[in-house]
Amino acid sequence: MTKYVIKRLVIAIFTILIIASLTFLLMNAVPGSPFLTEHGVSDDTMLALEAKYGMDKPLPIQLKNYLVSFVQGDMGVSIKMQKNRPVSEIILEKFPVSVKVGIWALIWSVTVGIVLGCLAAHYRGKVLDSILRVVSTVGIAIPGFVVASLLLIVFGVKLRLLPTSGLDSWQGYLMPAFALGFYPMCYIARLTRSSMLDVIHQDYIRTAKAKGLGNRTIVFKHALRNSLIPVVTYLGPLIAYLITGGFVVETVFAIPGLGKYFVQSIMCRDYPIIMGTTILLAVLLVIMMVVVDIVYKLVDPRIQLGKGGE
Amino acid sequence: MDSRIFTVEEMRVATPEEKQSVIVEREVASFWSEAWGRLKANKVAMVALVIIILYIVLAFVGPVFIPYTYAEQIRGAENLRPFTYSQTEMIAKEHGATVFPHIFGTDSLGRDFLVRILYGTRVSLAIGVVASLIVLVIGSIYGSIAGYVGGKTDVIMMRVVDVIYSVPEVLVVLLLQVVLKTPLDNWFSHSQTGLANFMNTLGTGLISIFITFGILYWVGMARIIRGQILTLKQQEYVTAARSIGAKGKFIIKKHLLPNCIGQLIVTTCLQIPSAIFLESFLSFLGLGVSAPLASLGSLASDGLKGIYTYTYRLIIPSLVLSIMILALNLFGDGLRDALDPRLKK
Amino acid sequence: MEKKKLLEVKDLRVSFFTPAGEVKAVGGISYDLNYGEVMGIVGESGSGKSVEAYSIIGLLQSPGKVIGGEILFEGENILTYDEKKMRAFRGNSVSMIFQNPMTCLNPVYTVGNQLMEAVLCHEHVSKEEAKKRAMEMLTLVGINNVEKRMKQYPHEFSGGMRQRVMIAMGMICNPKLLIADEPTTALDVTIQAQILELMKELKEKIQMSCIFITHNLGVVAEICDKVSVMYGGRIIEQGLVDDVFEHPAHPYTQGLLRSMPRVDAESYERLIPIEGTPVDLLNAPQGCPFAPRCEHCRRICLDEMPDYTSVGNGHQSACWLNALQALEGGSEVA
Repeated sequence: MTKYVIKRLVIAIFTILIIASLTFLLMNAVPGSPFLTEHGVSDDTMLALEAKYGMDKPLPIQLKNYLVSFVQGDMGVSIKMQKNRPVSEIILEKFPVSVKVGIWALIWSVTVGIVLGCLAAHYRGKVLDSILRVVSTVGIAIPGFVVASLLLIVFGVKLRLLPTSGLDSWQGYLMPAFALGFYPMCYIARLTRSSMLDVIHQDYIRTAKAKGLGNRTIVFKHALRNSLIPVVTYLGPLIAYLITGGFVVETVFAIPGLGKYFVQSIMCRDYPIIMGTTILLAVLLVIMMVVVDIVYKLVDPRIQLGKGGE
Repeated sequence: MDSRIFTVEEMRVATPEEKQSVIVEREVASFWSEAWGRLKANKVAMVALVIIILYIVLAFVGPVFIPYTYAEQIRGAENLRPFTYSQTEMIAKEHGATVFPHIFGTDSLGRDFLVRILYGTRVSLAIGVVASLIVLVIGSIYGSIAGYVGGKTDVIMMRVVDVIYSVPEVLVVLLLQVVLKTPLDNWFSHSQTGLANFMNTLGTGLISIFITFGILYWVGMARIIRGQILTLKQQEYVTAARSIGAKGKFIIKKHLLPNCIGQLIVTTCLQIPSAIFLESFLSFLGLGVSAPLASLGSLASDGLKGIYTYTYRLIIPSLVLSIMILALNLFGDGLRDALDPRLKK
Repeated sequence: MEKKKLLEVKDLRVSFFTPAGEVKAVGGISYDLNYGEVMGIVGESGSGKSVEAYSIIGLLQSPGKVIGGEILFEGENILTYDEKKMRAFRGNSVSMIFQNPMTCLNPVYTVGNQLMEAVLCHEHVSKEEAKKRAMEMLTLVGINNVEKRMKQYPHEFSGGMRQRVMIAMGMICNPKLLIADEPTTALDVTIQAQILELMKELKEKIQMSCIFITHNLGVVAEICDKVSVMYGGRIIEQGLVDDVFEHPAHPYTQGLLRSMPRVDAESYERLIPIEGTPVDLLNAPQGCPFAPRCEHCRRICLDEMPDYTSVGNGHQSACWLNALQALEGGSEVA
């Protein structure tokens, strides 16, 4: 187990390195300098600027320098958005805001999704199942920004029940967390339902019935744990979704989080911020994948982590 | 029973024809007609299909009947509410001229909103289809080669897939947007070829979406196809084909692909809404199609700006988009159930 | 052996209501099973033998439905039981072991957990007691190192070992009837022999009634007292194993025996397959289901289902030819 975790972490670090280098090279492959767009920059100033940001050295050296300082927590400074402010400082300020919304969305979507999925499977073919199926099918067809904007119109603009922007009070979290979690909630509900129905037809459920076990024991002991296995595999993509979905939700609700900031920095080509954020999010994702793998092992004893699975 | 008396006729040995006559043959339908029958029986899928056809007709034929274009800015007709007219138009009407109504009103630049919605739908649909085709071609070729050749090639090819799979795709799309913009813009402004002009209309946003699909999104398809091929490879008819000396390429074309065609169709079909989804997401963030071209996502994004006064400008494109994705999803699901009844739950 | 009826099945009918129409999987079968008796049910796939067994334990899955008849267990019609009563009945009075031991155990729980669960849900005993029982049962079915095995997951067991676990699980509540649905079919031949040997041993040790469903006539000959031969949802011949095997009365049984290799056969004897394909129960013929494949088929066989004819001590066969033979002398062909 420990051996496997270490092995996975080594691979993860390797992946992160690849992503970081690729990001760096891609950013540098852009012809022209980010300073070009500014008005009236003389050649001298250009050179001075480039020297200041270390852009006059050959690429591999720049990459090495960047990675070394990245590991030390230095991601350079912003060149447009908040000029000369260290990227790490900006990220430290913005990221916790996004994480807070993301975690609430994660919690509600997973719990509600699993519960609704179980209910739908249990009442299969009944009214409740039909309602849940319609809701979840519609739910995964609506893009996140539509959900977010509809909420904004109804509760923020028309009814004036909830604040339309910011996270100043707990009410401020309601709409963003709901909007962000709605799609994954519907997805998880569908996934749980179908995997539950799949599991219910397995031979071992028949064995459990033949033993004379009660319905509740069969569903909650024998069926649930097996049907959660696909849900665990969805956790990886879910976290990726929460990150990118955060871009939209933060834009709609004007939340001063990293997502909104990231999109803005892409628009105005603030390379250090783009790079820092991309690498940070990639690191986060890769680590979460490792965590998901380990959770997987806890749910399903058949998966033998130590043997690498091949 | 004890006093049963048999007639000679009853005890005559039955002829083979008589024996055959009591066997009612089940109707054996071909795979496709059976699948079509199942699809037709699926009401939800059929409704979805009708909606999709309606969308296609409206998006590609609809604009013909409307005397405005998506980029045309009508002076004095800015920010009209649905079914209202500008002053110039009112005067023209009074003079007996027929003015086509602005069914959904106009936007802040005086462009007819209905036409923009129709064009937006067209763009979104086209993106979905093209992106899915890219995925289909790359994914199925890659997957079938990996699955068919097997061995070390397969291991290496699947390692590559694994790596691509773990790359956060939306981040890559965003990165590509940034990276590709300048070179593409340069190329568009210097090259006079038709391709460059065409791509210029699409804009860098769209091109980078397609490239992303080309680089990243095919891995799912490749995995599915490879899995199918691996199972099919074990089947006797492939062994049989091999034993009479059929070549690899021939076997893939003749035996393997036709057998995964169902999977191919379904996966491609379900890829369309997910491509539209991604595009709308990017356009909403302002990174997708570039003005004056519009997609449903970018229209909704514009709508968000005037949310307090012109709420319908956000709601209309959002609804059009959601219904389209819903219909495509439902039809794809129906198609899957029809083509592979084993998967049906 | 004392002759006391444990199970009486009377004119049981089971249908599956599929979109294509009603499939009469079991079309009216009757038989008795006495205490301590082992009955074999033989038939090819789709003959209704498993469906029949599932209705005894109340595990028919939709769209299957019992549409007629009675199943009397110790005199009580279990078809009238409600869900709660049925649950107490399943696993406790009747238990079942299935065909594929690889998929019949829940992969995410330990074997011990799954064994103890069966005891705990039927009897008010402590966990320690249940564990003791589970370990005893595992020892009984020939599993070594029980203490360690209890803590292992099903995937750590081989196929044969898992079937042993299934048998232990089936017997852990001392049921009066054990239904074994092709318990050896999915196993390797050598393992099959081991499992059969085990079941024979257990049969000697514990006086338990057993219904053995199989398409393997050898298994029946080895372990069963009685045998019912099913074809097209009906029992077409039943009787004591020796009677049926030595003097098969129904053409299908005769064909079945001819198509099976025998150790005592002369070397030049060839196996004779039964021509044709099994009956399609969606469009079941009104006459004898076997008629279209029967070499002795008469006109009447195509139109009318024959009743049972007694051809010996409790040995019955449903064939017009047997009826005719029985009548010969008594009455004549008009």
